[in-house]
Amino acid sequence: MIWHPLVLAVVGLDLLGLLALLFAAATALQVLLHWAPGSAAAAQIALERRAETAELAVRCGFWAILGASLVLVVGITNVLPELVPGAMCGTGVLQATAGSGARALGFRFGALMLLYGWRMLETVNRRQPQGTLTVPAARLLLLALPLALLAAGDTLQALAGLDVLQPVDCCAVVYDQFRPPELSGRAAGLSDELWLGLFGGGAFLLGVLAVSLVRASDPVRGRWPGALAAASLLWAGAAAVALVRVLAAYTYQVLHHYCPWCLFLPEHRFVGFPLFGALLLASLEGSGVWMLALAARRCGLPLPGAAFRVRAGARRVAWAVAVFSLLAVAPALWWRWRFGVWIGG
Amino acid sequence: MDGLVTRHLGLVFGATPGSARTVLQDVSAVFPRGALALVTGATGAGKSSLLSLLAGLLRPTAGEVLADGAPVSRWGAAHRDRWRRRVGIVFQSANLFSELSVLENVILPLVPRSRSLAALRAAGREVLAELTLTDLAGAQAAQLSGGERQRTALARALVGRPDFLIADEPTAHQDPENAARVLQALAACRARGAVVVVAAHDPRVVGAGVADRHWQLAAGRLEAG
Repeated sequence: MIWHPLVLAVVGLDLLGLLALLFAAATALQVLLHWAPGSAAAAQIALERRAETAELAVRCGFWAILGASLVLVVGITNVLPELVPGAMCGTGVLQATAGSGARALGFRFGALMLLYGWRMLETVNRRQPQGTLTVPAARLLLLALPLALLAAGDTLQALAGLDVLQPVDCCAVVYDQFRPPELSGRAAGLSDELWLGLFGGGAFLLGVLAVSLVRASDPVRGRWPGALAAASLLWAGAAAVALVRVLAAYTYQVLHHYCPWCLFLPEHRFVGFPLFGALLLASLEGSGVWMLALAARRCGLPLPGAAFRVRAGARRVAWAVAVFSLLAVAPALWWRWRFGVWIGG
Repeated sequence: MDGLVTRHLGLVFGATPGSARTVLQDVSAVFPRGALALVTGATGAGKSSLLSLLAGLLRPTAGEVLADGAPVSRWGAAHRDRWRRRVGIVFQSANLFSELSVLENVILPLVPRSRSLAALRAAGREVLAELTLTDLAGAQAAQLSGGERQRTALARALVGRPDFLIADEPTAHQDPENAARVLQALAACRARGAVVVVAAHDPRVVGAGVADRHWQLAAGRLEAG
């Protein structure tokens, strides 16, 4: 294992986050087993106090894991390529981790998504004097914990097993000319044009869904929150593919360079951070809105803060879609205006 | 409804059936704003327990306490703690911090309100003056007599200008002159529109005629006196 300060920061933050989540998970388990709101029993009153402390611990854990993820991405994209022979961006670094790096990022996304949903529930729950959403929030925490553990484990494995002696062939992974001609211009069996259409159509659909939720008299009820969650997750995937397959070419000013990680490099003005940050925000807010609406519906009581938070979530999804679309499409439009043609004709 | 309301309030101590002791049962009463309610009853009748329930210090085993219409007795600990900032409490045993001075004891409830120390001290001195405790402001609480301790506790309850004042035997250990001052302070609090609930044995309180309502507690049940 390399003892780089960045590696230590990731491991330290992960450890802090996990300890906080494990501490809170013990209380969450007690909440699931023994929560009896309004009971005069000393055990219930003590559990309420512990639930408050656990809430602070989860907040701390969330920020620690988010911080670790950000440091990890900065490391993968801008620091570790200097240490891995042949790596020019995150692609080479992930190659050197033999798969565990990519898995770690996937588990992190899952853990952050559930913890973000937990935060939305708790934000509303804190305004409920009777702690109406304490039980669903505890459930979400217990669901997030295994993913956080897997993410930390895979991160540790990836960093410990990072091969800094064996050269990687970074660009061979991403350059299209190494693929068979019949597969060129396609990703996951779909043409690049279709991915672009899914991105554009999805952005429009998400805008419509967000406006519908903001304007709905009771945004918690109905199918809008579920539709927003599904659309935001699907759109984030489609937008990422469209970005890598089509739109990134205008940033790279190279026709066939299908690499997401190069967007994070300083020569491309670190544009990957706001682009993928917007995708992350849209996914987290969209799924969080659905988790909150589901919990609010199931509790069967009016939760005044829930409607406010759902509307705020829908607005944030719309903003994230707008920011991503602007950043992704602007270079293409500039290119078209300057040269009169789209890249690749 | 404004004020404090109890609905079918019950309190049982002890978790197991054999050890369970019913302290209060089916207590339904209204303690409106701008009124002083007096609760009397024999020793062990449950007066202090009722006051603890009204002040949010205990949670009822049955029924509920509503404060200005909100079911505060069913609230979680954090929300109830925040609500309790609006409640002034005088305990039967004063419960002062003996190592702190009288003024420090009195300004303690204001500490979470983010005011300057000078403002806290000014507010503390003002209420100490009302209860003729100005000379004792710097004295340690451990050095006070029983009557002085009880008046300090009342000053601590009044310093935050509470919406709900719950006082358990506030005239205990007081000479007639100071007992009158205490009653005057309670009446002033009522005149501000607060809910004032006083539990007392003291015949001077009962006979002073300051109470707008008189409740009698016997065998865990509350009845109009």
